[in-house]
Amino acid sequence: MMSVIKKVALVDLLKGMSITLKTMFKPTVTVHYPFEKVPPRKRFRGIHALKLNPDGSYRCEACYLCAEMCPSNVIDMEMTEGKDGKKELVDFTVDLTRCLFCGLCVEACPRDAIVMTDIYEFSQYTVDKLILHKKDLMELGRYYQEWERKRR
Amino acid sequence: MESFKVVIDGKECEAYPGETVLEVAERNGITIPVFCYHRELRPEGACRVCLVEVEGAPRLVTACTLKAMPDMVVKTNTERVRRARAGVIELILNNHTLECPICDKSGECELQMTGFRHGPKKSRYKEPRREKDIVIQGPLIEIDNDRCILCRRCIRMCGENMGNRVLGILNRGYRAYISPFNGDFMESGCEHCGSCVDVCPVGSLLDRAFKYKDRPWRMDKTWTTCLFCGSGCKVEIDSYHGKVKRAVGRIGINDGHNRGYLCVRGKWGWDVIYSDKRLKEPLLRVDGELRRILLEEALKVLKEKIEGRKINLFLESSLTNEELEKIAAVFGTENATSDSLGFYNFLKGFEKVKGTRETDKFSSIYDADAVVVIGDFIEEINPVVSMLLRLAVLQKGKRLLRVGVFPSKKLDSVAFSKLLVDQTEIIDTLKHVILGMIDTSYSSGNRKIDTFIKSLRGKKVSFVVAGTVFFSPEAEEIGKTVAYLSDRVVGGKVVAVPPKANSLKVVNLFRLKHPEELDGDVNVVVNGELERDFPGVELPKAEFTVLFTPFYTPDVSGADLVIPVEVWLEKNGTVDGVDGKLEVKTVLEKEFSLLEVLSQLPVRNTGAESKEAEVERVNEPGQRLLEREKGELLLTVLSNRTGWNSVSYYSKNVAGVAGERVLLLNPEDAPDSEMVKLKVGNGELLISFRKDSSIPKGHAVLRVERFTRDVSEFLRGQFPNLSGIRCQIAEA
Repeated sequence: MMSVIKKVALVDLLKGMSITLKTMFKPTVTVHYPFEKVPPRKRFRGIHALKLNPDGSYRCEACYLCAEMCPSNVIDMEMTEGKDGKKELVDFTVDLTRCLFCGLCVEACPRDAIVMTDIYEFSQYTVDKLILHKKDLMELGRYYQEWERKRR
Repeated sequence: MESFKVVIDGKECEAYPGETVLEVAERNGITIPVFCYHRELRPEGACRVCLVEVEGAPRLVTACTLKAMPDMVVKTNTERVRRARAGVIELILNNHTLECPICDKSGECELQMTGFRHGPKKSRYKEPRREKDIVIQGPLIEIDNDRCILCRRCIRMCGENMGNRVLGILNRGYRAYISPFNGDFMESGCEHCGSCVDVCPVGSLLDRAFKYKDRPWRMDKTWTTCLFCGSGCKVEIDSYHGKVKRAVGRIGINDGHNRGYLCVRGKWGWDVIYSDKRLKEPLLRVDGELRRILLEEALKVLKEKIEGRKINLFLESSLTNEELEKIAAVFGTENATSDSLGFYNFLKGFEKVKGTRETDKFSSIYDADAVVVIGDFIEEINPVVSMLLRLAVLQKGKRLLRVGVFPSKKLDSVAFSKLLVDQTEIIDTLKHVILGMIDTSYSSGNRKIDTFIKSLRGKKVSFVVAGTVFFSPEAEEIGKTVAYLSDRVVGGKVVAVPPKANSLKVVNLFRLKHPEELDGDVNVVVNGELERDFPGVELPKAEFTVLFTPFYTPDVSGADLVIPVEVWLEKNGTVDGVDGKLEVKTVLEKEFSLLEVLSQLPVRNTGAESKEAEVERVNEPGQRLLEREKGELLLTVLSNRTGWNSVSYYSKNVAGVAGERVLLLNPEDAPDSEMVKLKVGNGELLISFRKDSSIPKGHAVLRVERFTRDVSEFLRGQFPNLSGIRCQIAEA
């Protein structure tokens, strides 16, 4: 008997609608990824970047300490003597397929040259695009500096 | 020697008279930190970091200079010692730049290591760091004085062990810094052996070819044998990702017979493999033009051409045993010639008297009391052998006696006695020595020879034959004489230092002929360069010429088929060197391999393996062959240390220090003009000369950077002689 009355009076529906009405005017929680993105936390460890000097040159001195620290052998570099007699970085590769984003390389760097950006979207269609070279890392460095300035 | 007991850190250690406390401790596994001490160098006590406490002594003593004495009680690890040590390291570090991230030594730096282990954990120094900022750049060596701790290792190495005295300390006090004379390596006569770089405990002396190229700890280290000359030095090749970065000797750690000493070729000649003259593809002559072909096609052509034909084999002797055995199987051993022909002649003479061709290992000289060195320009042909002979005197107290023609900078200063005679009289002089050894009352009439004989009597004698002897027309006769002499002294070991890395194997495996006696149909040149290895020889007329070479040599233009091969740095195998079997190893990958090419060729059915012809035994010393008419000079043609094996031509590093072509004449023989015309048989050469009073009268030395076509044509018909060539000189 009661169930019949409930059905006629639309009690269940109203109950449900009450919650809908309650939350309708609250701000939304769901993020429509990938159309919307959550900004990462301040100390988020995304993919690497080579920090740049104000004049646009890289800070890295190719001491190889980051690669030495790396637990999964991600970083490799080539170096040579530059024309001015200074140490020059020929190539700096970061193999993201192996990286576990522990951040030890950043801790090890004596020149504060390698940093981690907030970028977490780096999926690619081919594996070789996941290996970042010096050029890509310097590009990311430019992005990082922009991001750092905004954060301040 | 009687040993006695020394107590170090409560441990009873056995010590021998003359040993220092540091050596005893080292042998018993007690580490005392050192900077200025090095196993190969004279102890100096400059750095004061090896301070130890001796019971009964009022002050701390340096262990490296303190001779062990019976019942000595030494403590190396008390609080007092530790504090003193840390203090010394703190003082050294005060003015040491903190450049470890970019310093090439970091990772194998002794200061870094000792600082971490024994140093203070912090500095009390408040003043600004003293900056010397003096960087001296040579073509191959760089001195960064900011990093220098003034331990003087390089100075002792260069001055005492090498006998060059190039490096020294300039200024005094805190302005003191290391520099070659006049600040210029080339001008000061540096031979670029790289030993100073090797012993530097910090990154002050640097290998410029390696500067900023890599980090020391991450490279693959391969111990191999340098095949650039007959010394057969053990060397460490460091490579990263299949690319060679440097070669290091590691003096004091190396257990090869060279003990880590290298020469300019071994230390810097590795970049021959990256030479832009490297051959990349096989070439075949089609309609008079060389065309690139595939290796399979080249092999097919080669198989066709050599099948059933008699082959003129031209061998260069830096190939490995495995390759030589394969060559012998594929091309036959009967009709061959090699650049070791002179060495072969020497051993032939040796065999005639001794009955065996076997000579002794190089290490056997350490058993003797006296070492008689026969031959000239050892420091050019086998530089490391001359260094080791020098060190045998300095470190092991051997008596070194020289018989030769030209004075030697390296050996004469340590020689006990030297007999420098005219080149025509070498054999006669040796005969005097033989007579003197047999008859104690013999007098040669020459006081020099008599004192020479006297200093040999009753001593255990070893003979070292090296250098120009094998390139002399008298090689066979000298072989006989040395063999005869060695039978008449105590000990009597003979070490024949081969001019090329694997001359011994070539000599034992092949029956070498003079190039003019070759009578085959197909010429095969393996690894050689005609002008360099066979100066004065023309390829015999043949239907087909095959060239196995790693480089674009001048012979490529005359060849019908050219097949690229690898350089020794890319080889695995063994060689029969001066000190027994030596190993050649690599981690590099190669494109072409001589062994692989040869293994695809059919093995020649030699049928009845012709036995080595019985050598007729003679029991008398050799005869003098060299004569000189009036107005004639005896010419020695010598490829510079850097140009030997064309290293300076193919290696960019070594090219920077390559010597130039010059004729050296005694001032009395020299004409007034600026240029002279040299005449040998039909050959003529116009050349500038330099008066050099160290060249004995009646002799001339032509130093060439490498054998080029004009030198080869000038020496037409002289092969295998490069020394004792009769020549005339005329003003030009």
